[in-house]
Amino acid sequence: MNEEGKVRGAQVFLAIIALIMLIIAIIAFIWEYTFHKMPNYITVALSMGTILLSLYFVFQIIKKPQNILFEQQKVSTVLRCVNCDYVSARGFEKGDYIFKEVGVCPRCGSSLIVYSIFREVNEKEQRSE
Amino acid sequence: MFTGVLVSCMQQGAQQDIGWVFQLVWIVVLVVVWIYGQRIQTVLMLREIERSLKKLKVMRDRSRQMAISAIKEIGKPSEDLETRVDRILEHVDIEPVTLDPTGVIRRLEHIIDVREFRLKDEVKQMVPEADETQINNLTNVLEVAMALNQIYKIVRHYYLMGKRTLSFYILLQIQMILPLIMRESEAFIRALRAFTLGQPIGDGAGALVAARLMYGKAKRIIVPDTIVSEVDIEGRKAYVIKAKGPGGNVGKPGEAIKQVLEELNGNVALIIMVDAAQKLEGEKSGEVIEGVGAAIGGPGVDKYKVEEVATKYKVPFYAILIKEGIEDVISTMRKEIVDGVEEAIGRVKRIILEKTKKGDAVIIAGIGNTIGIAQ
Ligand SMILES: [Zn+2]
Repeated sequence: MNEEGKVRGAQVFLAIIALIMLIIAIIAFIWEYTFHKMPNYITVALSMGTILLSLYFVFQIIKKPQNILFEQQKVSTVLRCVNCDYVSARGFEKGDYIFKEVGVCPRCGSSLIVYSIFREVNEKEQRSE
Repeated sequence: MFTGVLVSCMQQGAQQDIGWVFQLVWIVVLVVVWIYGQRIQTVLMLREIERSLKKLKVMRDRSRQMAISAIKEIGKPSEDLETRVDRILEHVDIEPVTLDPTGVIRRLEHIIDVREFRLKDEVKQMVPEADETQINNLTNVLEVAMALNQIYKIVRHYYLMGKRTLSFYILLQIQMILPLIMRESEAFIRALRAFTLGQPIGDGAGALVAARLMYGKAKRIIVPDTIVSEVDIEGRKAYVIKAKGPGGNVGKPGEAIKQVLEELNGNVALIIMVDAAQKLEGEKSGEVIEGVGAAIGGPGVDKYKVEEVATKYKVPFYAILIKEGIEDVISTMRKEIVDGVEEAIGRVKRIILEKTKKGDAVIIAGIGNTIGIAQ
């Protein structure tokens, strides 16, 4: 946790520097235009570069760090009757395992078992394949 | 940007001087890059590795925490729980000597057995009230935490070595494989969740095939943690083998196949092994393929035993493989793999029909970690 805090602090520091750079660049830009009325190409290029770079930094820092690692996944449990073709699905509950008896079939009264447990892969992961 | 301000403050007449300055700066930069290019690259590499190292540390700490809370959840743990867990995390296995390779498999098997016994024993001491399934699952959780700890320490070793020596080549070694290391570590973190909840994992595809075939039939334990069931498939007598579930363990499929073959004096028409196999990038998850040979992963003990005994009795062995990515092997089983399991069962039956005749005996072994899969 301490490490993460340090990283966060460094990012805020960077963001402040980027913002200051941005402001200076804009001032320089306006200054140049009002005093000379004639664009000095080197200054314009440098200022534009600074503005773009600063904006890029700010966006990078504002963008939430993606944390796929610890996110919850959707895991489903499929229940099936051992006798008839009754099938139903629900979310995974702790203690579920395949072939565990979880009750009786509402249709014929035989035992109901966990037939399969699986996770469905979200589109983002799917695409990265 | 300071240059921007500077330039804007200058008079037009000073332009020529500035041109000079720029030229000088360029030359200096060129010389610096020419001389210190590799040094600069080394520093950049250090930065990149440092970022990954931080991420690995977070993963390691998280896995340790998850292991501790999983133990706490099951029962009232002993007071020195954290020290015990830390001690297990630092555990090392010493490989057998291969200078004289005679009997190395037997020695390796012994080391593996001792290791497993010790780990389970530690868990039992930490939570005496846990049942067999919980002990197996906790052992798996600890193994993942151990792996993450080990990975973190190795990467840190190279990082610190590289930092101290600033050697491009030391850093290059770790940087080249870093993307793969990170991918594997992320898979381990996912595995932790599956193991703490007792969900079936991708590696259990083979075990699931065997479980489906033997469900509802009589079973017996043939070697520790491994069960066999005699099932009638299309008029053939099939000996279906899998690790004992639903706790997380892989059993001893090699030893079990050997025992069954010896019980039957080698009168077996066919051995079929079903296992999960790592897919290549671009291949589809859950795709089922067939082959010949002993389809058993791991350190090689079981594979050796099957090859040895099958050769002794001249029994053909077939493999059915269910393809999956490295990140799927130890994370909760994907829908595509469950579908692959159904197809693999169809393939098993087809191979039996094609290659054997009525009344023959066949062995079907479902290989893999059977966590979350009973029978
Ligand atoms: Zn029913």
